[in-house]
Formats: sequence, C-alpha cells, structure tokens
Amino acid sequence: MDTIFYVLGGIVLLLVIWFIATRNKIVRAEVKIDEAASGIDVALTKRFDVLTKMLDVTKGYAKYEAETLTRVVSLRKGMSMSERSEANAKMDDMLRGINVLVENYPDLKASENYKQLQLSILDVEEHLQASRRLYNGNVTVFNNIIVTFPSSAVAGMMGKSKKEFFEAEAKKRADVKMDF
Amino acid sequence: MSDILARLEHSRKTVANYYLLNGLLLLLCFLSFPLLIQAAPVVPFAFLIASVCMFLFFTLKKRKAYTTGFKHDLVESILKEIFTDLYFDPNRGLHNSVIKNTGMMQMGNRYSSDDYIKGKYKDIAFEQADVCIQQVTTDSEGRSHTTTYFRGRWMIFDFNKNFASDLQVRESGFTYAKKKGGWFTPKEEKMKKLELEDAEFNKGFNVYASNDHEAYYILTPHIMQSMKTLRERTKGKLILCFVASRLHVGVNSNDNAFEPPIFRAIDENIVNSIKQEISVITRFVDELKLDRNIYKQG
Repeated sequence: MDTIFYVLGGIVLLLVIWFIATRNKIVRAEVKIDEAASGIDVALTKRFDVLTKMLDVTKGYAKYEAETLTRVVSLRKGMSMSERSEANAKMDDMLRGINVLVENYPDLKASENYKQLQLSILDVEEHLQASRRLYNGNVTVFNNIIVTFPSSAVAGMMGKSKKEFFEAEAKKRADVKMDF
Repeated sequence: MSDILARLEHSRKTVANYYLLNGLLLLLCFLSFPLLIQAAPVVPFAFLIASVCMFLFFTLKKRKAYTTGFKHDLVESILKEIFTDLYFDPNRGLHNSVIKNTGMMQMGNRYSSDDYIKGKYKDIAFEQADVCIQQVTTDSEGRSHTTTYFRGRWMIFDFNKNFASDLQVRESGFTYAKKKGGWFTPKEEKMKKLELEDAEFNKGFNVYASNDHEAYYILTPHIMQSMKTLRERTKGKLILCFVASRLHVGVNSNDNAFEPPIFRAIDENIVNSIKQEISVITRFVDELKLDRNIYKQG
C-alpha cells in the first residue's frame, strides 16, 4: 500500500514539476515575442521618422505631392501585428512615391542631405528586417510549443493561442529600389 | 617578376644544397659510427660536429637571407598588386592583446605571430598575421605537453555596419574558442546561444550573441549564405568575432602562410600558390560584400 502511495506521489510530483517547467517555458517564449515586437515598433518608428524627413526635404520642391504622401501612413501605440504589417506596407508605398517624385528633381536627388537620408533609410530597413526575423523566429518557437502535445495541454489551460507573424510583403519590398 | 623568380630560385638552390650537404654529413656520421667507433672514434664525431657547425653558421644564415628575399621581393610585390596602403612586415605579428581583447579565444600561455599585413582591399581596411596560440603544461614527471589552441591566419576587417554588442560565430568543431554560453561563464561575459532560421547554418555554426537583435542585424540571410560558402572554400575551421564594429576572422588551418619552399622550384606555380594564400583575405571581403558600405554614415 505504502509503495503504491509513494509511486503515485512521485508521479504527481513529477507532473507538477513538468507543468511548472512547461508553463515557465511558455511564459518565457511569450516574453521574447513581446520584446521582439517592441523591436519592430522601434524600427517602424525610425523608418517612419526617416521617411518623414525625406518628405520634409522633398516639400521644398514639390509641396502638394509630398503632403499627399504624408497622409498615407499613421502609427499608433498598441497596434496588432497585422496592423503593423499594413503600416509597413504603406511605408513601402510612401518610399516608392518619394522615389518617383524625386526622379523629377535631379537637384534634390543629388543633394547631400537627401543622399544621407537614403543611407539612413537603408540602415533602418536592415534593422526592421532584423526585428522581423527575430520576431517571427520567436513566434515560430512559441507556436510550436503550444501546438505540440503535451505542452499544448498546458497552453490550453493558460488560454494561449497561436501568435500571428509579422509579414513583409515580399513583392512590394522587391519593388523598392534605391538609386545612388 | 621573372628576374625576381630567377634570383630567388638561385638562392633556393644554394639553400637546398646546404641542406643536402648537412644531410650527407649526418649520414656519414651514422654510417661511420659502427665501423670506426673502435678504430678511429674521432671520425664520426668530426662528421657530426661539422654538420652541426655548418647548419648553425652557414645553412641557417643562407636560409634566413633566402626567406627575407622571398617575402620582401616576391610576396610583397604580389601583395602590392592586390592591396593599397600596404604595410608588410614578415617579422612582426599581431599583438596578443588584439585577440585577447575580443574575449573570444582561449589564449593559452605561449603566443607567437608573424607575417603582419596591413592594407586596404576595395577600400576596406584590414590587418592579418599568422598566429600560433598554445598551452604548454608540465606533468608530475616533468614531461612537457603542448596543446595547440590555434595555428593559422587571424584577420581583422572593418565591418560595414555599426554595432555595439559582441557576437561570436564559430564553426562546429572549432575547439578552443572561449565558451560564452556555458554554466561556468562569468555573468558579465555570458552570451546567449542563438538558433537562426537557416537550419543548415545552425548545423555548421554555433552562434553566441549578447544582443539578439544585433545578431540578426549582422547575420542577414546573405551573410549566413556567404559564411556557408566560405566554410566550404577555406581550409581549416573558422571563428568569426564581431567586436566593436570590426570583424575578426580566425582560420585554424594548422599551417603558416607565405613560407618559401626549399625543395620545390620557384616558378609561376609558387606565384599562384602565394596568390591563393592572399585570396583567403580577399575572399572574406568579396563574399561578405564588406565593400558594400551603405549602412555606415559619416
């Protein structure tokens, strides 16, 4: 009788330890996703700032067209990942619009200030790419945990569901071309 | 170039003849030892002393002159064809603090370095030298044991992105890197092991980073692909350390670059093999596109 009691007690203890460890693993994976998401926010904000500066420079040459492009994008706190993806896609459009606009003004295109901003936007986009890959990597890890049995049972108890990826619109991104 | 090759070939033949003569005297010593040790014991010892004296006073001297000529006349002239702002000193190396300060290598207790090259390739500044790092220990019976931690080329390039945190990428099987993720790693040095999205890359390399975002910023899909290519094309295990916006590359090939041959003719093949050795430097700039310097400003 005692042996059965000890065996059952041991099994229960192991289950409790496993439950706590799995729960912590899920929480840690979620924290990493949140950190990576804030990295995306930082990169998107930087991208928006640089694009705004590019538009400010452009305004000196084509005020009306530049102001039209400004109205396309808005960033706010607490956006969902699909809203972030959408904002990023709009920024792609904005950059494409600026490039088209600048083609008509060779002086602007050749100005040192504008060239510096072009370099900035490339670096910002590299950072955004890094944030996106890091975020999506963390989401993959998290989603794998919560759909794989038996950790899916713990995730279900915690009310966790699959996270959405930050999509870069590859087709649109490929269209963005920087001229030097 | 043909004048240089002819002159060096003449020097090489002289050195080779000295080596052969040394060998002959040693052979005579060994052959005469059992025959004359009773009748005329002085003869084998005379051969031995003659061989040693010849080696110390003539062969080494000739070899040194030949090596200097080879490196300054031939290697340097080829280096000048490829690099700009060149500084080449075969007798100088990288100071051990340069490698130690990366915090990425086990440094042992014996260090040597030579064949220092500094210059620019495609306007990218670099330094490189042959480096040997060893750990010499003595056991309880007084026997000395030498473990070679690293023998090969250590190269330092200006990287085309700015970054603040450190990143270590070491090829699987690169044994004596400073482990950054172990239980016994001091907290301030500890780095996280990263798995990137490229499974093949993860299989071939171990990545340790102090900042996840910067690791992804540096290790773009293109850079990862290039590293896989470099791993295939480079003899020896690789370690790549990204420290203070510079890239340190260690190629643990267990050989010494730019050494002159003694028993092989100095001809176009030697020129080609020197160019091959130089291509280890240029390959990293070309493959990693370090000259695509569009991310740094000012």
